[in-house]
Amino acid sequence: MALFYLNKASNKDTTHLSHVVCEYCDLLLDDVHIPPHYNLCCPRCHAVLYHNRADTLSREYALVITGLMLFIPAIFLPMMIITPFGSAVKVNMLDGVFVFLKQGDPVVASITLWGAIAAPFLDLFLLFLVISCIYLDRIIKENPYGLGTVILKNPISFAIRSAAAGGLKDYGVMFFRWYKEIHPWAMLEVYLLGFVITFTNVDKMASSADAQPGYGFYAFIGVMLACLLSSVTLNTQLVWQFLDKRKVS
Amino acid sequence: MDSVQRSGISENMALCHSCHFVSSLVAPKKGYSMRCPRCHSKIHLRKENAISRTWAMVMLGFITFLPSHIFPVMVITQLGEGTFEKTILAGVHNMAEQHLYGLAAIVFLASVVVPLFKLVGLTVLLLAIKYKKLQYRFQLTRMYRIIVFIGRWSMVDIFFAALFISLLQLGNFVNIQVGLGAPAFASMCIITMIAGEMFDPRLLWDHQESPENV
Repeated sequence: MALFYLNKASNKDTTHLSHVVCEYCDLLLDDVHIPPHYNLCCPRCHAVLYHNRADTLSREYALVITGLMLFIPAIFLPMMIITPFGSAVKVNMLDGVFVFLKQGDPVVASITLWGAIAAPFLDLFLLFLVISCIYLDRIIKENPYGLGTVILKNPISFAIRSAAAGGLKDYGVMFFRWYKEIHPWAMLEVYLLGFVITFTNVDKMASSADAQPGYGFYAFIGVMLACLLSSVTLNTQLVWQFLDKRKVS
Repeated sequence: MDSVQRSGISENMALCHSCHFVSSLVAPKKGYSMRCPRCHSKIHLRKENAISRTWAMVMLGFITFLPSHIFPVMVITQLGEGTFEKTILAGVHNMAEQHLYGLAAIVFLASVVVPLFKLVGLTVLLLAIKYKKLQYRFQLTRMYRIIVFIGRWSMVDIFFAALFISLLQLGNFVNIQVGLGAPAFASMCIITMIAGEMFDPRLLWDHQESPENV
């Protein structure tokens, strides 16, 4: 019930920014107004500086939870199955890491682990934590007494909830900063290209081997779509505004 | 367009690279660093030591580029057919022989063209700043954005090797080993990605008085 209510805070309006500095050429712009669904481009170097996307935070929440749930089958179920000489060989994502470790190559093993498994997981998990922080904070703000309101205006429940509300935004800021750091290292779409190359190669190489994708591959596609869609539709500036603790004038 | 464009550095306005909040800089107390008022990460007018750090990373990238293509990525031992040492380029050649021209092109682009473009491009950017040849800075800034965008795609070769080797290893019909080329190539990818993040394209726009003020 609370989540439906939260959808009210959508930005259907023009965003107003008092100052914008271009990330690439350091051009300073004053009093910028961006209509909804428009991008702000730097007039000097033509870089896209700001997407005034709609507030689809609840959709991103759903996407991120879906991605996290699909992560387990994506890692443990076989991605590719070949059947040379009648016996099936199954490979999942973790095998791609452990094969390097077994052959005494920890550098490549750790880079593969980071780019294909750890960074995408942290990417989704940190975004999940950030949106949870924002939503919990709003729920507490809307109803500061919690269940206590039903029974009586309970001061203990009020104290607990207001203490939590103070810290939630700080944690949200911390998680979102980590998310911004980790996001460029999540390379699932690159992994998909690697998968396609391997698949075609193996299919071509051994004519007796019949290569086919396993269930892990479909789960992996789901995780990749969740990762990509959540980052493409996320209005980062809006999230920063939600997390802003300073008094807005 | 204004004759003199205002930049963040001339107005002492710093952009937070984490949350893109613009704040006017106040000199901090001794021993304290400047922090973004919204997200509390460190803010600078320019990235710290961007030029020398990027030079170091680009040099390291060039140094690791050679072994990544000289040493084999996979060493394949097939029963009765002997041992093959496969470098990345040999793999591309092999794919083209099997009439997989599209795949050969993708692997060649991702593992040879993209890293070279990144390294040479960053070198060009650094040299342009050093010798103040800034008439093409619009194009150079666009090139920098392309370099950052395509950087991750060179990792495709490592992921290909990971899946391919584990698949054939478990299959037991050939013995396949990771060669020295794989760690060299993987570290080259990571190093060039870090180099791209360390560079600061705003340094290209710091000289307003350059003759071609477009």
